[in-house]
Amino acid sequence: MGAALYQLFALGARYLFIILALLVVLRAARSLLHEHHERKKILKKLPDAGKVGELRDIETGSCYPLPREGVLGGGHAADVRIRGLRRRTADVAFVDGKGLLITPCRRGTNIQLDGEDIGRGVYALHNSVLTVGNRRFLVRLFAGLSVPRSVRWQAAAEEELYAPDNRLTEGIVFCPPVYEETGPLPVMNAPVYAPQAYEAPQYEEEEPAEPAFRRRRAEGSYYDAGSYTVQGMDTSVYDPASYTAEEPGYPTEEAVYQPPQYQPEEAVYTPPAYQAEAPVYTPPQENTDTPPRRRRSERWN
Amino acid sequence: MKQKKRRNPIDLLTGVMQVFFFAAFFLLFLKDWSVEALVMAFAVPALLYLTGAVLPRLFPMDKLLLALINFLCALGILLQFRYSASRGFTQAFNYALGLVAMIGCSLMVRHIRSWKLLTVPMMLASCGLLALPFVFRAANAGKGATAWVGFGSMTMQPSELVKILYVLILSFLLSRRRVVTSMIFIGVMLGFLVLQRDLGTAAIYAGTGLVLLYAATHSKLLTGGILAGAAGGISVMYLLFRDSYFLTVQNRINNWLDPFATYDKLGGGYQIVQSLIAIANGGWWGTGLGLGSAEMIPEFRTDFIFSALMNEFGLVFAALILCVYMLIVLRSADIALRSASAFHALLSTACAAAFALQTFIIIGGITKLIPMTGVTVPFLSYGGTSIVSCMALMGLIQGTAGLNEHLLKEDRRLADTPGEGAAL
Repeated sequence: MGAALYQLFALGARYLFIILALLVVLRAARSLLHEHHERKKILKKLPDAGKVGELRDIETGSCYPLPREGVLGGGHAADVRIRGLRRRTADVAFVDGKGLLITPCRRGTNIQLDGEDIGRGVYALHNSVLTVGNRRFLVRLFAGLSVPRSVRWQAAAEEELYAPDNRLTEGIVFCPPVYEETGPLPVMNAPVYAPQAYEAPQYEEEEPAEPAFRRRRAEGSYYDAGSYTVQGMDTSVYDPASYTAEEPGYPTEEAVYQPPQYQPEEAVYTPPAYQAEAPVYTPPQENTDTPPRRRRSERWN
Repeated sequence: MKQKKRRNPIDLLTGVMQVFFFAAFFLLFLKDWSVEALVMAFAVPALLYLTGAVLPRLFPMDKLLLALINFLCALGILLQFRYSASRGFTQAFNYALGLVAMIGCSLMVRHIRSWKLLTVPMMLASCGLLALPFVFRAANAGKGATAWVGFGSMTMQPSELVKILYVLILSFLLSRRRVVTSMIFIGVMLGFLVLQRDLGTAAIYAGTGLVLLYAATHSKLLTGGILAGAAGGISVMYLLFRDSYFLTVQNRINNWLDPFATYDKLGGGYQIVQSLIAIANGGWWGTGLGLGSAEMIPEFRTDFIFSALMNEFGLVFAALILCVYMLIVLRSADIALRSASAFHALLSTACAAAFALQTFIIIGGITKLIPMTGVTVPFLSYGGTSIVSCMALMGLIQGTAGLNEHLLKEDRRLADTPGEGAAL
């Protein structure tokens, strides 16, 4: 190609290059702004984005959101800022599969987890009690996180699973904590169980009570719920003698469950007043006179 | 009714880039009828497609950032190819190495959970690498700064590689609020660079450290105090040693103040004058690809590649390329703001700051805005160390971006899971 012809092409092409570069810049800028706005919309729908739970002050009830990683302290730059603490008290970091790692920032810091000194670092699980100086905090982690279960949490979870009928509804049973204090989630026509009104049973250092169904299978006899009673509720409808535990989950001909005769004047359900003090759970005792507990899932079969 | 499928905006962006480079290389083919230019006219757009479409599927990456990096790297290949086909292929090979470094750094950031144990070895490695140029003095003969290390015919600048370790170490220390340790580390690094008389790189390190200190502490008093102290210290050292150890620095400042006065002297303002003439010769729209005369500028392939670009493509095009650099910095800052952990946020900030400072320092130098230094133009300059270190910095940002997306998915999953404290 001649030099003059090439010069013509090159001089014309420079405007093409500028137009294409302008297109690149405009498209990139537009994409950047669009993704930025989309991200903002997504984060508005996820107010707890970046958080793994909260620290709840046991005395005052204040909540402090826990980030995945940060510094716990009283300083301005602390990620979990709790007034009254040292500027940098401890480092917190969530570790998948293990829990919330709490590491003191300096030696001699008075930090305890469930009554024991944390030393160089310890993993806090759900419902652990963190004591910093003279302040006590309850560690609450979101559901769905990959953390092992603590004994306290397992006991509380099983209590919820086997709780009597008048404390459970068809709606959501265990309400997650809501930071904005909007109250429990709405349920269609029954009062909602509010975990904040409920004190977890204070177990001594022992294994949690064996669930009813396991005991039934092991012993081959009916489960005796002990001294647990509920006012206004007729629970003596299950005949344990007719049940044989040979086919787990599938009762035999002999173990045909006889549903009670419907007696509308007797089976009036009166929900308890939730503003009253919460009922205290008494562990079952070996007593044949007490009515048996029923699993939530068997109630309506 | 069939719904019209909406195309991904990044795919459209890549398409525009492909058209650009096809047209550019085809034009070079028309000039010399060289087969290499024709091969590049198809190879470079294909490479853009492969890296833009295939790579994000294999490794989690920010597509927009990747597209912009690819555009600048391909432009660097084009500019090197325009003056020498062999250097164009070498630049393409260096780009491939840079991609490997980017992927490696991205995976490193995503998968290394704890940097605590690596901090001290990285610090020792940084000091060791920066001390190497004092050992390999022969590689620095004839150069103003003692910043190079030679292995036979190959030379490299250790400070470019130490930049990666520097941002990682500083980000970790400042995420743990170890401000004093960070300042001592910055001081040691700057000490090495000042002794090497590599003041451009020292300015990048100092600026990055300052930005990180402010980002981590939010203390204007501390940052202002350090800035004032540094300015005072530099002034005192300059006044004391300008006629001896820092004579090169003195010459550069004189050349910056009046390059025409020292135009015909050795080590004078010849480079800057030629650069200014080339920029002026290009005008607003450029002389045209293949019609410029940037070969007259010394080091036009490395430090003054941007002058060559302005000569052939014009000031308007150069301004658009500067916009691309700015978009990379803005995207990096956006990724830093989205990060869930302090370490990753500071890491992305450090990489963005280092990248922005390097771009400003070199482009300011060639346009006589600030005194000229020996740093390279990111992604455009010829040289393996330069492109690999810039791609590695981008890899650290890509790793943070990938982690952000993963954590966002986790947050969505947690928001959909009712209850509390449930184990999986």
